Amino acid sequence: MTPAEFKNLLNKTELLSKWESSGKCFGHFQVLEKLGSKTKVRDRIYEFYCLLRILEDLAPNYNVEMVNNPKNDQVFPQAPGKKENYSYFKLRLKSKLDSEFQICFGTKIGRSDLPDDFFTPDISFQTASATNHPNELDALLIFDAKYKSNSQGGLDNQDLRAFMQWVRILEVENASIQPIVFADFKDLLSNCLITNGKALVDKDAFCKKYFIRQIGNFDLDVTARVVVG
Amino acid sequence: MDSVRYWIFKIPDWQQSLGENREFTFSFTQKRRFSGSRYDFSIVLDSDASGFYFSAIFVIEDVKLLPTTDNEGNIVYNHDVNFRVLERFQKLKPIDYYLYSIKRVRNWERPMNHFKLKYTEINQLEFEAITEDKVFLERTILGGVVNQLPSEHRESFMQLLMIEMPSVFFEIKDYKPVYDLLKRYLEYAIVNPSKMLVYSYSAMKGILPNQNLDDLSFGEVDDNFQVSSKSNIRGQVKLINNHLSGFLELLEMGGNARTQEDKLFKDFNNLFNGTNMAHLIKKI
Repeated sequence: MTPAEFKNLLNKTELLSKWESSGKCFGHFQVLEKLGSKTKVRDRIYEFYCLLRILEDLAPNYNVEMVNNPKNDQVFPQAPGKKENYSYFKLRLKSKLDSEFQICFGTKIGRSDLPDDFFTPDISFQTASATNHPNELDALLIFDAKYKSNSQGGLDNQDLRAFMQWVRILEVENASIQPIVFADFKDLLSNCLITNGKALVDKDAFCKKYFIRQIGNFDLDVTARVVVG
Repeated sequence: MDSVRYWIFKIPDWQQSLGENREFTFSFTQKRRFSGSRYDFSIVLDSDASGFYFSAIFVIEDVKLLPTTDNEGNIVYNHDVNFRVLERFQKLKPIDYYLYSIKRVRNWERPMNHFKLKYTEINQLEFEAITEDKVFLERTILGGVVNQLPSEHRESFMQLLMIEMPSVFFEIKDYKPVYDLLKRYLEYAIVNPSKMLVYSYSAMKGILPNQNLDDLSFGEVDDNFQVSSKSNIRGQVKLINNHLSGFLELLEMGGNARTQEDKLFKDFNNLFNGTNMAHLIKKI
C-alpha cells in the first residue's frame, strides 16, 4: 500500500462513517444493544431496510402512498418518535379499493387506558382510520427488526419474551388473520421478529402459543429465510 | 567503532543554508548535549501549510559543542552540527504514513508532540520504514482506520475487542486477528448498512415512481415540528456509490497474511513487543 493509497483509505473511512448532510456518525455502532447510549442514537438502517422489503412485497397488490407530515416532508424517525411528526404509508388494495391500512415506521403507539405509556415497534400495521395518536385499538400487526452481529449470532430468549409482551400490550394476537395480501412474504403474516441472524429454531411452540413468528436470515443477498412459529 | 545511530532533525529552511558541496551547519543552543556523532544518519522533518513531511536524508560530518552560560548563569551548549545531504526525497513524505511504524508515537490526538524537540532518536528499522517506505503495514492500516472513525465507532470497536479478544488491551502479539476483527466490525457497522441504505432508496423509488425523493431523510423532530440533524438519504447513497467499493479494495490490502518468515514483519513485531491497543488508538 502506497502513502497515497493509505491517505485515500483514511479519506474514504471518514466519508463513509459519517452522514454527509448532518455530519452525524453513520451506521450501526451499537455492538451491544443493551449498552445503548441515550445521547448517541445509532441509525435504524436495518429496520428501514426491512420496511422497504415489506413494502416491495406488498406493492404489486397495493397502491402505496407516502403520507407526509405537513411541516417536514419525507422524514423518518432517527429514534422512537411521535406519529404526528413523521411520514408513514397508506396502502390500498388494487383489487378491492375499500381494503386499506397504514404502515408506520418507528413511531409510538399508546394504550387507550395508559396515557403515559408508549410502545414503539419498528414497523406497525394500523387501521386505515388510525389517527396521529394511535393506540392498541388501531394496531393490526407489528414487526420488530433485530440487526445482529456475528458474535451475537441471532435472536435470544430475551428478544422473544420482550416482543411477545408487546404483542399482548398492543393486543395484536389476531395478526395472522388480518386481510393483508403479501406476495412472496405470505409467511410474514404474523407479528414477526425479523433478524439477519439466526432464529431460535427450538422455540416453535412458544412462538405459536404467543402469536409471534421469528424470521431469520433476513438479509441482503439471502433468499432463503428461516421461519419459526 | 560505535554503531551508527539514527535521528530525525527539525531544521527549518535548511535548503537556504546549503553550500555548493551539499553541506551546511545547523547551529542551536540547549542544555542537553547532543550525543550523536560523525557517520550518524538523520532524516529531516519539515512542515508547511499542508502538514509535516520528511524531505531528505543527511549524514553527520561533524559535531562541535561549546559550553557557555545563559542569562541565568546555567551551563548550556552551543551546538554546530555539520550535515551533508545524502538524498533529497523526490516525493516529499507526509508523516502520517510512517507514524504507526515509529514506536515512541502514542499520542494520537497530537502525534507531533513526539517531535517537539530539535531532534529525536529512532532505530534502524524505523529509519528504513521512512527512507524506503517499508512501514509496518498491518499496524498502520489498523491504527489509521480506527483513529479515522468517529468516536462512536471507535468506542464500539473497543467494546467488540473487549468481548472477542481482551488480551489486546495488555499486549498485541499478532496484528492480523485484530485487523480481521476490524474488518468484521466495519462490515457489520458500516458496509452492510451502506448496502442496505442503497437498496432501500432504490426500492423506495420503485414503489413511488412518481414522487421526488430528494428530501427523503432520517431525523429527529421535536414538539415544535422542528427537525434536528436531518440525514439526507439520496446524498448518502451517492457518496456510498462513489466510495464503498474503493474503500473495500483498499482495506483488503492489509489482509495479506505475512508470516514470521517475513523478516520485516518479524522485526516490527519484535520492536512493538509489549505494546497494546491503548498505544495504538486515540483516547475514548
